[in-house]
Amino acid sequence: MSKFNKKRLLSIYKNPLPIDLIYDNDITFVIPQVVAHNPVSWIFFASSYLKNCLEISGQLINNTGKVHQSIDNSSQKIVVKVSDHDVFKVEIEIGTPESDAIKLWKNGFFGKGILSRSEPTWYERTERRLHLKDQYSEKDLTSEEITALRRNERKKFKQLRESYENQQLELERQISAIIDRQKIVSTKKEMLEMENDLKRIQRELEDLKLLSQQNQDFRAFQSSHKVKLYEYAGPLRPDDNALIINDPTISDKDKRKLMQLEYLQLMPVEAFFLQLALDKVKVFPETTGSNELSTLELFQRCVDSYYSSTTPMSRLAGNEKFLLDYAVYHHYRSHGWCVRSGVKFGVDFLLYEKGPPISHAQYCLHVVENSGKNMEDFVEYSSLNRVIGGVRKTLVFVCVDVPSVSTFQKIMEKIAIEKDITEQQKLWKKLLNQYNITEMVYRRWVPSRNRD
Amino acid sequence: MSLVDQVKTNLTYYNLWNETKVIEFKDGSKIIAGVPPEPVHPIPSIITMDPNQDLEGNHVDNNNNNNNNNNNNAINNNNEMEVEQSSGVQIPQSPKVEYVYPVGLNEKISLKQVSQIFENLQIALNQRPKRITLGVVANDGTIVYYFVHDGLAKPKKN
Repeated sequence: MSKFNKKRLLSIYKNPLPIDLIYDNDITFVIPQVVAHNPVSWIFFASSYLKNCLEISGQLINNTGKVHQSIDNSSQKIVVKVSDHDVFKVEIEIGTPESDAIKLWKNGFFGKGILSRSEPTWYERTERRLHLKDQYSEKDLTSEEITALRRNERKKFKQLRESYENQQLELERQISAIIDRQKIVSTKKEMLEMENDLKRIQRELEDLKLLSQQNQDFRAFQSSHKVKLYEYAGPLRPDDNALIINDPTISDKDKRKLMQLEYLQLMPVEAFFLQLALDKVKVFPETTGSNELSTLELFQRCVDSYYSSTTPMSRLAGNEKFLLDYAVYHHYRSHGWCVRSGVKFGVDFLLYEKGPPISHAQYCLHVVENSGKNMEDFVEYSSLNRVIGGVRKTLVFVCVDVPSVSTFQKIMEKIAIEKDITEQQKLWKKLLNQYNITEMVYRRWVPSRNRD
Repeated sequence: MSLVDQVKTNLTYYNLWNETKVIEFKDGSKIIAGVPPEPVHPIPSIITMDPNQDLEGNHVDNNNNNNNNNNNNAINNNNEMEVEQSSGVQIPQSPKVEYVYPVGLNEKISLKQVSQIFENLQIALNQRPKRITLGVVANDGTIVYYFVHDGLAKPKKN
């Protein structure tokens, strides 16, 4: 990725979490950048730093007792709906650039568009695919479309390569046929004709070889042949037709509207993190008229989503998969990592330094309970490691120490009866503190390849 | 959305499969039939088990039968493969119907269940497909697809 592109992406996705910091309008805390090799900027920095400090201290003295709010909680919380099948949904509104779903995606990469690879882009992709919106530039293309383009180009390249190879074979066959015939002809005229034929074919073959030489390199092919993604509008599939909203009042073809089919889906750990740690979401059951879920109810829902039946709270042991996953998720999120599902690589989580659009995930997390009992065998670890090695990532075993059943139950009981939100928050924190995390990198080492 | 709906939507609108429809079996389980936009890689030759012995439903027995019958059972040759191997040129094939069975990531699926799916399909279609695809739904909405062949599949030629 080019440096410029990375910079652009980092400016779009600058917040690691969906928290809006508000700065008091009166306090302008602007500090210029320091450039190491430019001493003038040091002076500039120092002077404005001092000025700002003086200003702020002055303001604080003036407004004694005024608490400076650093986290903006007044802004609306994001509504999450949980379906009967434990799917946590955030609606994606059309035409609002800063809708809730986009906000969650842009600030920390929460959730996944169900009809996209990760960023919810299905609507715009489909608009282009169905030719509902013809004007777009190459810059707007989504990552799915870029991949499709590259695959199309690769396919065309292979077809062309194959056709050159076949033509070449055909010409070579003709040449050898003429050479064979030359042995049996006698007249000079025929001989001369054949000579000419041979020369002509040989020239053709040379030309062809040159062409195929030029085509050898896929990159060269790419730069000279730009394949278009949506070339012509064929008849719509019945499935696609069902998506177009037919408004009888609008006759204009360009005004046909597409139905939004996609929503952002959150993992249970994400939904719980957004509620417990950030207090940024309100979770409602999808059935109409239901009340907002309390943190405890959400917790129960999340635990249950890992199983096919409900486990009563009093029967939980504290080592349920959701709890292990959540402890790990919370741990890495608090260290600033972007944590996403790793199901594609057969692990629990993927760790991104910044997020999916900016760089590939570096680490694959395999969550294990540190009980000493449930070690899988090494064959399994080895196959997991080979898969992950194949995509140039590092496998990390995350071992979670779990509290005893009695400790866990004691805290849960307290949470259940605690009515005060802040006190309850403290109890959740106490619960999370019972979980300890130890990481272990697992990597194959080939002694013979590592001798220098 | 139920698992079946999730997988069906994903196939129709993300992977752009055509004519996706849900087939419900007598035992209440469901499978999705659909045609991919482009042919998925050809089904390799499969050494099949004898369908009649399968009906008993006992695993261990099946395995034994399978082993014993390997030599007797003719290898089910796939026409596509033959064409490919004899001429060395790939003939573009039109996509065929594939069957996708939705599973939750936390579900455990046994060989017996897989065998039952093949049985169900055989009854419903009067023909036993050579493979099905498991559509594994993760809790973030990702769906990963895995082939399951009805017997031993010859590795793909590279």
